[in-house]
Amino acid sequence: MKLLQLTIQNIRGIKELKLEPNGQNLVIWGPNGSGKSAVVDAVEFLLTGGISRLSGQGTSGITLKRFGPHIDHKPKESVVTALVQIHGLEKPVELRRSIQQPGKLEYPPECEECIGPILKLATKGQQVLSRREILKYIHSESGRRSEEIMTLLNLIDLESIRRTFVTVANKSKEETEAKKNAIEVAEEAACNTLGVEICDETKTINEVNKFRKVLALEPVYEVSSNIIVEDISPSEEKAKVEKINPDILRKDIDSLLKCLSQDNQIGLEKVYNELCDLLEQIRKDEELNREFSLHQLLELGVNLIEEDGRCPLCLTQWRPNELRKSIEKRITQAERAKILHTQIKEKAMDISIKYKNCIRLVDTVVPTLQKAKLSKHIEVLSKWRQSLLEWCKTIEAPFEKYQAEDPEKIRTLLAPNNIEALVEEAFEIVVRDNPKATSQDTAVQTLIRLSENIKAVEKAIEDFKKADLIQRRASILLEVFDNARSEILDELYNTIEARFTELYKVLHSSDEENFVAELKSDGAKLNFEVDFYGRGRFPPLALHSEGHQDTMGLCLYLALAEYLTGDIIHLIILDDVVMSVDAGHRRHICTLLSTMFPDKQFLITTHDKTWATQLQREGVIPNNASYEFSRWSLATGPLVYAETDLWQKIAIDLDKNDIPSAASRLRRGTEQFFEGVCDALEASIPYRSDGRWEFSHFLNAGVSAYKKLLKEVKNIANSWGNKQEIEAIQERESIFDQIWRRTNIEQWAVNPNVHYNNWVNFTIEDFRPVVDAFRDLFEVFICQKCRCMLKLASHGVIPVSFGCKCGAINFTLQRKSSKS
Amino acid sequence: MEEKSILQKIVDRTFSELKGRPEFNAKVIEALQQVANDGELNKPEVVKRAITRED
Repeated sequence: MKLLQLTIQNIRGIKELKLEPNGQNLVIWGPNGSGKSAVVDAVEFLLTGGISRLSGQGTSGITLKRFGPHIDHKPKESVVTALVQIHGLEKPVELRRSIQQPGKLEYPPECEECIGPILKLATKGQQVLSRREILKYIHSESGRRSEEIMTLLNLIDLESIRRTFVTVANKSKEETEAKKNAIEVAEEAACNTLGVEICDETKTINEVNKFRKVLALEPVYEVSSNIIVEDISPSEEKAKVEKINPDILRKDIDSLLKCLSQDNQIGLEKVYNELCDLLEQIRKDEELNREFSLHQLLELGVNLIEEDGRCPLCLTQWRPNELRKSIEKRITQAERAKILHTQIKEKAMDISIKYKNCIRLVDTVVPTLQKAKLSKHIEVLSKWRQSLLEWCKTIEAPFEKYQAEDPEKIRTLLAPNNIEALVEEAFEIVVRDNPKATSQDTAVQTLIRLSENIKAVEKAIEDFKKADLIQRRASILLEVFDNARSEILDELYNTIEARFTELYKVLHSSDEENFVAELKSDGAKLNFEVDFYGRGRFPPLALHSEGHQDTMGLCLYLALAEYLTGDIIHLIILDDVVMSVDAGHRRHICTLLSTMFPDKQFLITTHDKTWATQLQREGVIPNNASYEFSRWSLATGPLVYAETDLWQKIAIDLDKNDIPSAASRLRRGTEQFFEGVCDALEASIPYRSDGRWEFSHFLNAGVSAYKKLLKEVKNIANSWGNKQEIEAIQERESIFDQIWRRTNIEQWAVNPNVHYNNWVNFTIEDFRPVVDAFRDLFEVFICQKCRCMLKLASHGVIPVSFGCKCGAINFTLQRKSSKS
Repeated sequence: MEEKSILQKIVDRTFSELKGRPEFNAKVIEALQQVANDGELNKPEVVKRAITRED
């Protein structure tokens, strides 16, 4: 897509403006505050529906509808219209967008298919590069740079997917750990039933077979919930289970009391103190606390952002990806809080498991007490159980519910003073009121309970296996995605790295001929290092000058933008990007833009007149595509001076019989043109301490340098015996002499006409030959093919050739040595 | 080259690699493909559900 015409009505500092670049490059130049950036804003608004400087960080309360229009106008009066040429469409298309309806771009419906991809790409805003943005690629640290480049390449979704996979992998890991703990808990219940510390398979089989022997049952050789109770009849099972068995109660009480042991209390207190320390760290650090308290909200929020960039809570319209980027940055900042959060959760879970184990043991004792109708004892145990359960809920949500407790209370809660006496008293009652259990009763009851325990272990193992498989899938998914991402992004970065190096060398071949760069992804980071005069590779910020850094940013942006926009958007806006670049390197930038990006359309803004002039002289900007902005006022916006073609303007003056204007224009134009010639040919001008050179200084110095060069290249061509070149030079000399004679004779006409105001003596017939002669003279210094000014090309300080940019005119300045 | 092709390339290469892994049966791959087609690979609960699919 190229811009043919742009009309801006009441946008930012502009009241009414029409530019007609006709698909070619254009430059807008003028002092700060003259309204240049408003043009950039207007183009951005047209393509994206937003103005980036009115959104994002630090722009709270600044809205497009309020501050997008010119201050004296309403949103409905603020409109940008453009005529664009779209690749693949024969006729130009008119686009129109009003601040009244920023989300709606108006265009002919039949163009939908072609405009869709343009808008999708343009919405991301990569077609605008400002100096502020250059710094993002060069100055930022690797993680941030990666983010910026990912944004430019529209790969933010990629990061969002990666984060999802990380979340799923982490959650799956947590769940697998919980399932693993559940196996341990179930196994511990089986150990309690058997009254042993550890129950491995052999030990369990031995214990099971002891009970089976009591019941005269065949031994078993594997631990399975069904097999260990094989051959026990259901009626026998029912009868035995209903009986109160003091021996089993004793075992259960012993297990419970063991859980309340002092060792367990000390262990619990230790973990609890560690948990308190971690919680204190978060509470003392206000920022960390804030980050943490918002972490979950941010993680939730980032997944809820509307596709068009709207905030899901307040429905504020953000530019696509802006809000996501901002939230993701805060999520990264909350990473430290997240690590603490994980540690706290682990400790809390550890404590909870200890309490839950205690609850489980209470639950094994209570049924026997119920059968014995010991309601008073049950009531005390139930209350204790309830308080344990409540404390578990508290500790499992440590951030929301936790209140600092005295560690003594924590110990007391696990082992209240009255519990041991209470259960011992209950046991005594049970023993007193019930007959001693037979060994058969104990065997059946133990095997049946063990069978239930093993069933629970089997289920826990099954659950664990499922969770483990999901965890492995989640981590493989992340690993495979990361590998694919690295491979493909590395391919992409290698391409960009090569192009960046190529572009940078165009600008700095004279002093950094062997320059190399490395753009390499490292997880979520993107490392960018550049060669420093063969002394190693360093971050761009480390050793290179500000000007070099700016050109690096420009080259990296151009390499990225080229890769991204391809044949879809040809318009690239460079908003004041060469501030720190010296004149010599700016000339190279001209070469870069015109030779490496001939198909792109550059809209360049600058406050520097010299750069604007240089762009024209170097053929980047056509003569009629330079706009000077000045004397901005609220009422009128900028005063715009459009530089149309000099000869066209003179012709208009002559048509109106306005000789003084035509003469003045010719004098000013010639002065500017020959200033450029002097610059291009490195002509010597008489020194003036006031720096005020005039028309004749430039004209004479430029012409003299040209003649001298022709003489020199002819001698050199002679030294090589290059007859073809000698003839070409002779032809140029002959043409020049003819034109120069005409010009020299008539030159007098220009000065007196302006200075002495004797224009009344001139007729159009008198003045036209003057104009024609100078016009022909200009053409001597311009290549007819590429329309660029002829210039001296140097290697370092040594001139090596004289010619034009396209190479149609190219005379060597390297003499054949006597040896060769 | 534009956004989707880079992202799509990465997603395609991921799926191609997953197909060779014994942990991923056809149903899980199919479910994940569906999630990708629906543009929901950035939703943890949806991805989790897909990888929880059994044969």
